Amino acid sequence: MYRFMGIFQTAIAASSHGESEKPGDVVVHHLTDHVIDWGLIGHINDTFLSSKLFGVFDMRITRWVVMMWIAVILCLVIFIPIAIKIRRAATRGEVSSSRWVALWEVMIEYIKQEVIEPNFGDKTAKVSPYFLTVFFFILFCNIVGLIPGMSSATGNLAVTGALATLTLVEMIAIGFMKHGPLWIITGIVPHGLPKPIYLVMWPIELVSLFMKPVVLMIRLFANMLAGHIMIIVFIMLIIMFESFFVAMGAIPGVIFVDMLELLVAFVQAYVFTMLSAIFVASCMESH
Amino acid sequence: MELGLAYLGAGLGAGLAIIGGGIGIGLLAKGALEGMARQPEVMGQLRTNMILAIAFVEGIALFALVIAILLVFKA
Repeated sequence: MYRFMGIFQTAIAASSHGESEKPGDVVVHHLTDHVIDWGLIGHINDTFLSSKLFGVFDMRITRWVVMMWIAVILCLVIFIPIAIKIRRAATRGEVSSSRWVALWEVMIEYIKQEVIEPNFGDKTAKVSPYFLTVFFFILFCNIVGLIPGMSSATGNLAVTGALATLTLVEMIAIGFMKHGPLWIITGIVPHGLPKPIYLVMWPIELVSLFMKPVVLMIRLFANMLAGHIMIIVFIMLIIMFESFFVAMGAIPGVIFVDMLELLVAFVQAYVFTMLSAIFVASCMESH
Repeated sequence: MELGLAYLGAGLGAGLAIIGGGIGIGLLAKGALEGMARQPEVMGQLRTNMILAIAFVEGIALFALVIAILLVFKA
């Protein structure tokens, strides 16, 4: 997200009013959340959602919520027609020959073969909807954040925390379903250990069980946030120095960082999905 | 004085933590390039796995960045 013209207008307007807006404020403005207060959504914010849910949760529609909705709508609009086309071609006994379907099928098959199949084996068809959804949701959230004027919804701790909490809930639920209610005590430590080592290993394994989703959360959040900070800082360099020579050096730098961010968007979505699959599969089998 | 120390700590912490990340990624690239030089037919697989491992190493280096950002914006 680099609001190129937006930053220019903000800085020029602020300096023409006689006050100087510090560069740090503009950076923070683009990285934090803002409640939408114009249009239909602003009207809904003011009337329906003005009181907090249960007195604690602030449920107003902000910019990040709209970005997540855009990613969800992209997912639905792309994948439901593809599923209809594949099913329609499968009932005729052949593979769909449209290039658009083949484009997304490459990614879906790659995720299924590399991420889900080595970990789950014969249960692949039952668990792959969840992992594919997580992968494409994170991917679309990251890519939408690269368009100028939009911000990345995975660049805050709340969204990535929710995704990591889903992984944690899955790990614990599958452990309980597969190994019974005593799974917490006997299931997370490797079998066949003598008693004293068992007592020492159990707190370590319990902490590591809860640390794995936390590390997932921080990795995704930090990668997205760092990328956007670099892009904003490069553009702010031009405005702070107010010279053309700095712009000649900064614009290629921004373009390079943007390409890197595109690669990081794909890689981080893939790493999140792969680690989620590994963690859930390790809780499913007995050690 | 405390405000200056917080900024100083943030800058030093982020800078020192990125040394480990840089060394880690360099070792990864060394291993991948040596493998590609020995066996050019597995270049694609090596490249894919190298980028995957770089994502992990960079994740660890960015943990320190998150702590540094927390220091700067809370102080």
